[in-house]
Amino acid sequence: MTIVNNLNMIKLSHIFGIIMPLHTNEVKTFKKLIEDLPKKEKEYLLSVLDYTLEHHGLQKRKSGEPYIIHPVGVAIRVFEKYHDIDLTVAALLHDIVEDCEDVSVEDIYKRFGDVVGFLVESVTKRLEVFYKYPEVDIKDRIERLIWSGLKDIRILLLKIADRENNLKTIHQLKDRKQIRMAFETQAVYTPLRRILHYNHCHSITCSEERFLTFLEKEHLKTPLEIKEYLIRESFENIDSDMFGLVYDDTESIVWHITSFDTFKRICESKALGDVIDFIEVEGNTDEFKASFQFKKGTVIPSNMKLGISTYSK
Amino acid sequence: MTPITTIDSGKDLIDDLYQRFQEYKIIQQKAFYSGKGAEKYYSLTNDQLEDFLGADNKYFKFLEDNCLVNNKDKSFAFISLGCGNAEKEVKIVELLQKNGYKTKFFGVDSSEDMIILAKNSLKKSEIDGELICADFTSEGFFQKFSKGFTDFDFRVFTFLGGTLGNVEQSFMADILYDLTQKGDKLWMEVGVRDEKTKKEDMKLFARYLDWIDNPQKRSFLVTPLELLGIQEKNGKISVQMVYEKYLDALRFVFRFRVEEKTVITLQDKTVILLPGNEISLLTIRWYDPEGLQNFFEQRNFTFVEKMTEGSRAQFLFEKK
Repeated sequence: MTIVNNLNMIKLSHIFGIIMPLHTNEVKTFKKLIEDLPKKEKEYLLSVLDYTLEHHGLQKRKSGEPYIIHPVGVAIRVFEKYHDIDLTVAALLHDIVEDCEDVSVEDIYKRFGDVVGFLVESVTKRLEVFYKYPEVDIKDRIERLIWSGLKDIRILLLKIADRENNLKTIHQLKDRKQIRMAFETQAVYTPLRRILHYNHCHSITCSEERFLTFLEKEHLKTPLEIKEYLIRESFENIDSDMFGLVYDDTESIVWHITSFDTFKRICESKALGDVIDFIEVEGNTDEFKASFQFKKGTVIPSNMKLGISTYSK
Repeated sequence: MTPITTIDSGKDLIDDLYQRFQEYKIIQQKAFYSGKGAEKYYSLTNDQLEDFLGADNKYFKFLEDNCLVNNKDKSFAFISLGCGNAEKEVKIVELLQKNGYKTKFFGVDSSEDMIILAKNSLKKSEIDGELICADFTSEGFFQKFSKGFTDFDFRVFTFLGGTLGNVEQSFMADILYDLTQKGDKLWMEVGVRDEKTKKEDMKLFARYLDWIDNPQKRSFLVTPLELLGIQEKNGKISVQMVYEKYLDALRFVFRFRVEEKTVITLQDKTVILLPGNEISLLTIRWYDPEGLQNFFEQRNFTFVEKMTEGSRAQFLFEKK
């Protein structure tokens, strides 16, 4: 489908009162943001935006909003933070291979080059072999992401921005998916965000330096070591295998905490208190244990450490 | 002189306690209210008692307006199940009789010590009453009284002092179902949750956590251990909070975990407790008003009215 055809379709859909992807606030904001870029870069980004609009077309989110607001929202975030063209392009394209049957990783490499191709490929789920690194055999989704992040830190920054945007609409997902997304965020992305100083670093170099310093300090080398370190930041007694089990079946998990102060903080936090069910709370002056399950997904404040109490399929 | 009928004596209660403990390591809640337990219970709940007695007219009006307004010419039995020292009940019955109601008071308690306290309360008043020393969940009581109290047009069963929350709920509700007849009233005093939030739940938990360190409260908690001859130093007390979905209630259970091998002799039989053995002590419940209402409505009771003051609530039901 050409851009012209797509615009015709958009005009047609306008007649029936459907919200047009092209007219969303996100698209308008993005265009305004890149207004002052040099002509060549601006035109390039606009052409990528058109490509994204063409392929995501009239796809809808669970909320009924045009799907396009998500990739454009992520692109706005990374552009505002880093002003990096390749990263912004990758943000616009980051879901295209997953969600559009007519676009392959190879298409992205060929059309947008190796850098963007690798960025998009690395954040795309369900891919087993890297297009440019067929010899690399990493099955685990998170380890695969970390392996790529070690090559190009922008992959981790893109994934964090993607998750940040997805969390805004987490409540529109089914309960099971909410819990799963919340768990993965807590286990991987919240600690990663902290390590990369995501909130405070406003350049890719700054985050990269933070990451390298961290790896050196903690003597971490392999993606598996890094993944397990990240998980341990939030949860007690959970290794990579357990993470996989839990991720696949988050609803069956009973969490436990052994600190009364943590229990108190969870109860006082309305956001958390509303989305968990305590199964059992027991204590005396020397010992304390509280077990609970999540009703729906939520991200646990990063300074709370939880431990898996029981797990059953 | 107040007549006293004894179905279960103090010895029966102790024998029952020993036997249940030997067989199932279960402590019945009534064990808390015999011997020194009776005295300890009132030292803990004196404030509540005084609040009730200070506003007795309000409670009387609550009962009168909602249950008795069209029944002035009818006679009824005012039966307190687990009457304790019966001070609250005596006050209400005094007001009923003073206001021309044809009623007679029956106080039922499994503890001989409580019955003695109730006798003293009745002695100070001029009400027409009778005391029954019995476990009202027992077969003996059921045989004698399930079809009893029939000299009256209807009956008002009361469960004051929040002790409803101590016992197994479905069992108790079924007993009440069998004991009551169409048109009988049920008046229950219970603890209710102010808000169903984790924050409030946590505050309740913290409150019971403090009980473990409070000498007076701890002394009440270990009452049954003393009756069984288990030394408090041989274990640790903890409190457990569990949400009961079927009732929408919070259940708090104080538990004693044995940490040192303990050998006791009950009725010439040896009971050996090893480290890790757990004994449930006192159970307390905090209800959600709607949950409790629904629980009794499912058992053929019609909700009549409730009166809530802070964390205490009075509920009135009528048997269909």
